[in-house]
Amino acid sequence: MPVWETLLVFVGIPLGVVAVLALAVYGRAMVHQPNRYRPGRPWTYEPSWFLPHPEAVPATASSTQAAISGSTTTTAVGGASGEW
Amino acid sequence: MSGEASGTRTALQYGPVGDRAVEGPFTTRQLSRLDEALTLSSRETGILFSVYVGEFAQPTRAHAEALFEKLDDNSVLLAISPGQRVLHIVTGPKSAERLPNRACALAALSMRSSFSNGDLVGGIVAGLRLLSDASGRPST
Repeated sequence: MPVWETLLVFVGIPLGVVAVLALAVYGRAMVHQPNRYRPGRPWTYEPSWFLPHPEAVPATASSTQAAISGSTTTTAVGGASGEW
Repeated sequence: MSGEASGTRTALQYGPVGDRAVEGPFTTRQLSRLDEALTLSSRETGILFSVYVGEFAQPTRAHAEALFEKLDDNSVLLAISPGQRVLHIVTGPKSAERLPNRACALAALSMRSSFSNGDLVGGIVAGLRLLSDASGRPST
């Protein structure tokens, strides 16, 4: 058996097996973006604020613009709170 | 984040800022779900729903209400801090007429159960759906 054939059998085949197993284990996580929140883990992301599309609220379109520019002030009246 | 309300992103802006789908907490798919739920519930009810996800300063309720002051009377803020495991729903003078505290508490309960399973976006979507169902259609 020449040297290259020995190398192919004793190095190439084990590497191939390892690669197949690694793909089977981590492949899904590489394709799908994983869920980035687990209860109890710290939250290190920047605060973000989501608003509806401005055209979705025609009745309050002006107030949406006002809200975006931050020019209005209003006081909170009610609501609810919770912890988990 | 430790500071008063003005320390957070003051400029409210529609849509993702920068490459949020990569850097932010949500995947592109989750962001589109969130956007759809926000837009649909706001369009159906005429109430401006908005979602804040981030750290609160202590006391958390006061911080959420300070954030709400940037919105208008006819809006509802869902403020969620996954790190502190706290959520606040804040209603304004006009939106509170259509959304009593009991309806908000029901939405908060549903959101809590999703959040404790680690489903952040699912909880937000469920909360928005409950809130928009409770507030009904605009009267005008």
